[in-house]
Amino acid sequence: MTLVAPAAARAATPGQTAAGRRAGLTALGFLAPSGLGFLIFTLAPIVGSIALAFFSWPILGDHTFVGGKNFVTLVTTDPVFFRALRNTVIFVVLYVPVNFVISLGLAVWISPRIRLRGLYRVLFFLPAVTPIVANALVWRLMLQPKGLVDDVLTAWFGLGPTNLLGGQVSAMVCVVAMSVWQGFGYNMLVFSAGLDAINPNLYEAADIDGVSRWRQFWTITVPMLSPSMFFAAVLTMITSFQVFSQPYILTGGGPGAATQTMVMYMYQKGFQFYSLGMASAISTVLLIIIVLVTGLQFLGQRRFVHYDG
Amino acid sequence: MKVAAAVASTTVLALGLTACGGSGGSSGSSSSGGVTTMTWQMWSGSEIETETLNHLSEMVTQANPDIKLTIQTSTFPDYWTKLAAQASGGDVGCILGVQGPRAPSITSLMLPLEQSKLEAAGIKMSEFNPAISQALQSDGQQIAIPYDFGPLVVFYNKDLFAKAGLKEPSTTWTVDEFEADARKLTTGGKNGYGMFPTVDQFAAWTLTRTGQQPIDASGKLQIDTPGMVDTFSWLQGLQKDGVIPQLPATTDTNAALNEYIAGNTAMVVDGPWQYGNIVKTAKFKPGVAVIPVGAGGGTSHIAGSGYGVSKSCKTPDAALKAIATITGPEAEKYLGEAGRAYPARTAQSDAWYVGDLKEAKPALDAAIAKSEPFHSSPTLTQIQTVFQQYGIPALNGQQPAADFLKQVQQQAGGQ
Repeated sequence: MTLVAPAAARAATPGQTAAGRRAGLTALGFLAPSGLGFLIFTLAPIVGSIALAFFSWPILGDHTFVGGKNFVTLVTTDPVFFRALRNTVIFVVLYVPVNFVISLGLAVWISPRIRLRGLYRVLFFLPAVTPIVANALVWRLMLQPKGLVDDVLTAWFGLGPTNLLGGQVSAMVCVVAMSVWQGFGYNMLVFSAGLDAINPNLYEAADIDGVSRWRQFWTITVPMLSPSMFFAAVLTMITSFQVFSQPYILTGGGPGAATQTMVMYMYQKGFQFYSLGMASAISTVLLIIIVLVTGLQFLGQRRFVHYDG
Repeated sequence: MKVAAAVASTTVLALGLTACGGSGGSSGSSSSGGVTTMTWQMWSGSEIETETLNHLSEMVTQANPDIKLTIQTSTFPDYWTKLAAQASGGDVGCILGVQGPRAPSITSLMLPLEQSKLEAAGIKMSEFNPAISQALQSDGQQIAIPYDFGPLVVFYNKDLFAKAGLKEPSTTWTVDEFEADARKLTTGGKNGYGMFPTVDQFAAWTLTRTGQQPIDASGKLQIDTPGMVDTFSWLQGLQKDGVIPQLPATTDTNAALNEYIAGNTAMVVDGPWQYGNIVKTAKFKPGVAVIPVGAGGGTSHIAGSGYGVSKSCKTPDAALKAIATITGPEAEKYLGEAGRAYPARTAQSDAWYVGDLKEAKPALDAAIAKSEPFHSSPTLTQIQTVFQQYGIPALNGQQPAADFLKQVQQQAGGQ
């Protein structure tokens, strides 16, 4: 009896039968390729990068374990870290809302069956698929002294010779403007697809009830579009915290450190100052910030995102 | 089961880390059928420069049929970043381009070239300009063989000088004369002098005005001394008066040179390695003058480049044989005549003076006669990066000279 009872108990647990175990193994087999890929190409580099942050690791020379010294240096004596952090936050705060307003506005504008809708979609999406380095170079040619913008401002508005990429505030505005121009097309496509999926009966019913277009937008479009908006918000936030190419090509992080972002500073520490440990410490701090912000967004989605429809 | 899972995941992690950490690499050389193929890493800013390297590589195979070179090029700033990244993975090429000022920062990558090895490859250091040979040494040991060198000089626009009714600079012109000319040339939307704040351009002015370089002979940064502050304030004054144009924030160190070539600024400071390019692309007649003589004596600093063998190279003798060809008399003559480089070999240096370039001879001879090596430091990259980054707003007048130079000293001087 004592032998039978545990066996019976085991048999009673779902997934513990021979068939269940086989199914489990089969599932494991199917999951293994992507699981291994994740472990090797995602988790291992992340863990490796975090581990590197606890070392003094010059590119050329010996490596030594230094504990949390790199983090302490960053927050106590490093002259640029907090400036780079502040610049990154300013970029995110300016870029994300402007990107959202423009991409949503344009998506709503081309959402009705207007003429040449497909053409507009392609045109608006074009900056997102052209190489960012080429875009930034063209923007630099336009914005530098004696460039197109300078000529127009001088000739038409008499604003004198301008040096938009040389001013502490104007340089950041230029970086944000160029980034918005480059990036809004992607979110516009996401919103456009989301708008197309909204059941037109909802608008018909609202029309019959005499609901204004403005109210329809806030009570039908926005709630129905909230899953797309959540998806776009998470991705845009993450990519904007990681901004690098635009300031790197457009301003080189300058003037001074006015447009130096965290990823740029990480690159500078790692590949110009040859200090991989400090670079990894910066990337670890950035990783923590991104995880926290994304976590907050996921918490917020319970209140603001509607999946029924 | 849990233990097995833990072991499996640890193994996978370890495998992943190993895959990321070290490639093992080819160490830049391989042999097959009696032919040794080696990787040659070098910077190149244009297709013309890459074609020149290809030609040199063909010369190597012609002279040594058992050696073949595979060329890897990057732009100058990217070259150092790429080299450092590859070095961290133990995967650098066999033959590496080495710029004199950057030599101290990559010494640990380079094979010391002992006298016996040089003799075996047929290289005699006495045939090269001594200042550039010295600039490519580390602790008295040669780490690269030079192929070009040059003192910084002033390039000027002859057409604008004539239009302004100015006499062309002599080999003894002074800083005061330079300033007076630059102010007169600042008219009609043109600027008298264009400058991008790099340490070497700044050093050209500190050396002639104070007799000192921003980095001393022992490699220590001394960029916040009163003499340095005074020199930077003088440059800021020129910018304030419109002689030097406002600079946009950029990492393009050729920004000032490009404005000169476009005819927007009348003068610029750079090295003779740019002269061939200027003569070919400028739509005006360019001239070459020495750095003006100041209170410090009018000395120019010399910089140049060469080729060395990486420590990880498995075929160092073959690499040195290839270097003997690409820095040999025939290659130097080819480089000189093509205007690609001012030959580091004394006997071949006149090869550079062909066609329009002949006019530069009096100024270059005078500058070379009164020159010293550019003093560098293992942390030159940091110094350059910080100086350029903060130098642009400082030159634009957004920060006092003393504060800016103190900031550079603190961030890059290790104090």
